[in-house]
Amino acid sequence: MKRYLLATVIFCSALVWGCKENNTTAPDLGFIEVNPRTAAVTIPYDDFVSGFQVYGGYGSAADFGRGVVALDFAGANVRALMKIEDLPTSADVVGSDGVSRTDSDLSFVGGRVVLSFDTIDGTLNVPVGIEVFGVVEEWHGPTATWDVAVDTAGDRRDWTQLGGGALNSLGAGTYAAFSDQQFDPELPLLDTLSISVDSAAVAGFLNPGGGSTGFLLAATFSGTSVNVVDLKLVLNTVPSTQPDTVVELSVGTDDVTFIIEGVPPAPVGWLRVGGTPSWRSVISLTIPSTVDGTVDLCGAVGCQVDLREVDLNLAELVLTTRQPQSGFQPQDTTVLDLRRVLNPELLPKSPLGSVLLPAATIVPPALFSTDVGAEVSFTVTRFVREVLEVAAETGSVPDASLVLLSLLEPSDIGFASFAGSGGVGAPELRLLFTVANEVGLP
Amino acid sequence: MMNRSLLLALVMIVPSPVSGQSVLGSSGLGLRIEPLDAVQRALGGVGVATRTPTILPGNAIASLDILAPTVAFTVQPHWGTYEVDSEQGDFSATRFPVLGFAYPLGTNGVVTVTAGSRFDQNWSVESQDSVDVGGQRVGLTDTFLSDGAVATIQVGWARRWSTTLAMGTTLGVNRGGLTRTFTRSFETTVDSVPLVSPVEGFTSTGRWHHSGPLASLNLAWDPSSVLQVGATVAWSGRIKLNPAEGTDGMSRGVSAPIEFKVSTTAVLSPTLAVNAGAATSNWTDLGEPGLDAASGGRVTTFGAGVEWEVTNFWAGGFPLRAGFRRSQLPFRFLNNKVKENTVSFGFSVIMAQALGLPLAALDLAVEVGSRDAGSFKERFRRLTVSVRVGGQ
Repeated sequence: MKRYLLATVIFCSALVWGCKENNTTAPDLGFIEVNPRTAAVTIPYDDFVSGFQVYGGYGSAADFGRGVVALDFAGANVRALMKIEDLPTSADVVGSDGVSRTDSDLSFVGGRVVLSFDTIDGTLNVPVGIEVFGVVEEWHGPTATWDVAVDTAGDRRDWTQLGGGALNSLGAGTYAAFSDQQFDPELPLLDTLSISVDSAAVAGFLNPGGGSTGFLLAATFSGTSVNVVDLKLVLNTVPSTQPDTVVELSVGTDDVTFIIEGVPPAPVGWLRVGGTPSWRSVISLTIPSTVDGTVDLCGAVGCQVDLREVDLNLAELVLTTRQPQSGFQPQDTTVLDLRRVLNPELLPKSPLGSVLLPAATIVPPALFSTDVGAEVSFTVTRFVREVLEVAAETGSVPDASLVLLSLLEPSDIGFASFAGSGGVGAPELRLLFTVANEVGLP
Repeated sequence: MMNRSLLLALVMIVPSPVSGQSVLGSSGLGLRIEPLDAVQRALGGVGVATRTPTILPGNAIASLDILAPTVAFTVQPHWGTYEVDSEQGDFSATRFPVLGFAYPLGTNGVVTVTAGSRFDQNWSVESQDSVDVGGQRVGLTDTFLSDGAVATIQVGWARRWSTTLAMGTTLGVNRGGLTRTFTRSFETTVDSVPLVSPVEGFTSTGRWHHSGPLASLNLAWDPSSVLQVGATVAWSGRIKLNPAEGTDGMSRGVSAPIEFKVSTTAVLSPTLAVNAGAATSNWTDLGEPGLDAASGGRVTTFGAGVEWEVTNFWAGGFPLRAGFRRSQLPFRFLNNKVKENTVSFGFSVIMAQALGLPLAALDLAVEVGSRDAGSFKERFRRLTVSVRVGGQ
């Protein structure tokens, strides 16, 4: 009996597990009784924005970790500032007996500055003239700008001359990334440039009273721009123990930044995001609790739809691109982030909320040059839903502020620019919501 | 050991959900799923006792000839296709329409505990559309999913009053639950390009519980040695549909009608019997205007079959069965009455028997059928396997 039962159980179990559930999904034959209607409404600027502010100064060019050199490149003039490590005072020299000895009586007879370039970004298809200057005024990397050499707490000093102060030219050269490929297309792009400096310039660096505070690199060909990723000062020295020998000593950099000519002041009437140092735009919102219903929802008579009672499917903040000032158009994609301002009274230093966007918004540079006037939308469904939930509980819609910022600050000399209040292209809030009857019994 | 094996059998079977998949279940209380075992299915029966002792919800007399405490369960996979206008599709599922236990009280009485299916409300429909989002047409899909069922739990008692007359009764409750969900979901791409701003979907759900009493009276009479007559009157009280917490709306009640069933078996020879039966109930005036509009009015079921014990196999006889059945369903679909027709074939394998009566058996029925409601047509195949196991 037990065997029979076991066989039956196995048979029935196989029957059950082998039979997959497959629901009929018939076409709608009139059984979707809830009358669902999804409506899209666009709330104009004046109905949901109570104001906006643009704040600058987030981050520093020194955070880039590389120098930028440009001359009248899309209108921008940029110079790189670099400090070098301490100069060597001795060298290990191998004598004729093959033994290495430290020689601290060195005679410097000249040298060269070796620049390494980024071979991805910049005007690599044309030769770029580079001039190397010695900087004699004291400067502070994180705060130096075209106008100001030092801007720390209680200490602000302008350059005696804009753009790096009084400068001593040390030498010049031309960087041509494709020069080697003219002879052999298989060769990689050239990424270094060596500029010779004479012994007098080297002596200036060595003399503590010489006042040298670093190098300034400037472009000499108009319309060019390159990124300098590294600078090395290679010194030629003659040791006292081996006067017929020239020894090369390499000195690296320990402070790199760049200064930009003519950074525009904070805009009035439009939004700015990104740049170096970075800009942020804060939009203060007062989302209406009701909007005009569509014909689908209200018929021809019209009605007001209470947003606190609908199911929100999508909320987008829609901005329209505009052309930034000359010289400050983004050269690369701008990656934008949107967050809630947690304490607007503390702006520009208010803490920010968590990421609102499902993914960072990537805006191509063309939208700020050839394709200005394009719409860029930011998904704020979760944010608007939270605001409306609070409104449903309290009876009034709370004010809230959002900040639009670059995901990396800074990430580009250029900045994103969007139309502001009034007129064509002013920010809009696009909502998509669904209204349906309650699910009931037939 | 026997009890442990039975427990194992139940544990392995019960966890799968009870569900049916016909969109016909969208009407009224759902698609009627009669609690019939493989013997009834094979003979085109209507749920009244036949020659084979078995356990049937709502009919305690069917278990009178059971010699030992017996557990029975029925597994019913089915596969089907539907067609409405130019649309067509398929469905499949497994149901468990009968689960029961019978305990003999001497040789003339029995008590039963049964669980049986009654209505299936498992169906879904969907439609597609699109909506303009910032100048782009974003596709959307509306789905309405109904997931639920009404089942019965009954306790029965039957007694043989003479060699030709037996009477029984059952008492029980209708129990069930229903979840209806509407979902609007939006495409995440437009022309295969992912949307920058994904559109979140919309969902609305309602939940209800079913409850209500039911009872039946059963009669079996053998007017002659070749003729057996059985009858059942099944009464159902008001089936209440109470909204679950979080669901708006009032409680509703459906006055399900009394159902009359009669069946007769003619034993033409010791190995050959013919069975015929009919059932009728009037589904008008259910007390709910919404359901009255979908009422199928008076619905009737006819069925007939033949059983031929052709040989012996394993521990007992090997009855072959064939039958047909024609029935109307209680609720209209798209304003059309729903008719179901089946032809069936089946057999039993007796795994153990005593005194000529089976202690353990496996019954099997295969049905091929159709349901029609105007332009809506379903074709289905239904396999029913019942297992009866008894012992001390």
